[in-house]
Amino acid sequence: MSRAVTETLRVFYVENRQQLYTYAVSITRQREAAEDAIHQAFQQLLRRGELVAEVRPYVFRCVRNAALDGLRRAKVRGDSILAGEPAPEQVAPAAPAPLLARELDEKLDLLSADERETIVLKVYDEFTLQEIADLRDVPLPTVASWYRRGLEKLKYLLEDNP
Amino acid sequence: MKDLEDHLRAARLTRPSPQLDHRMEMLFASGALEPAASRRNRWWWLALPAAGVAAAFVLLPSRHPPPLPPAPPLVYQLEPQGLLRESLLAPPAESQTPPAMIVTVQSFPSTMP
Repeated sequence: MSRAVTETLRVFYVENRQQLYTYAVSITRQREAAEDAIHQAFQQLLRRGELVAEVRPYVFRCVRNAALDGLRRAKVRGDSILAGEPAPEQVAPAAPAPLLARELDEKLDLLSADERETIVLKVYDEFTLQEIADLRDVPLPTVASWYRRGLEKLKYLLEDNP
Repeated sequence: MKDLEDHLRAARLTRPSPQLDHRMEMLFASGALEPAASRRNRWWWLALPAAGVAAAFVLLPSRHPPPLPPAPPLVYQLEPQGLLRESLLAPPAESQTPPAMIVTVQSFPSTMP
């Protein structure tokens, strides 16, 4: 059973590393802290040696808890979930300009933590609002409100107040 | 809102560093299950001496010889001679019952030959 859990988690990490990382950075706002949170969460999951049926929300919740624990321990520096400058191997014609990414990130930073986390989970991690509500253990209307308000704020900030 | 969502999705995200991937590889390879497994192993290693102690408590008393049944009392009946015999066999008329003389000797197993 232990090897099966390890393999399940390893495959899950490989398939979801970007989503987990984006989510963790959206909470910690610090890259190193986000990576520490992911590592710590998987370490705890492996030590536990068992998984629930719904692995995805479970792992995301563990990463969230680890990220929040890290936040309590460390001073937040404010790293971006969006790349400021493209890495050489990532440059592509369709890639958005670094300024746009930085601008988006700055606007995301102006949202509340709940709004930002909900938008990241919905847009980048492809969670449904119901899944986010389950993950956060809050009512669905609350999550829907966070999402709607967050998008409205972003739209206002990006279009009306560039 | 749909446009905004698409706009957000189009943004290039920060990627996890190779160091994280390396750390995770190490984590999965080194078997983070070791602590749990070692806890289980320790449990077994602790169970072994515990079982030994329990077995000792059960088995050691049985090595003692079983308690001997109480020795039956030995009764020696002595036949006195002479005057005492006469007084015993021919008790005085005023005596209702003849005097009895019973000597009881408690004997224990002896190691003497």
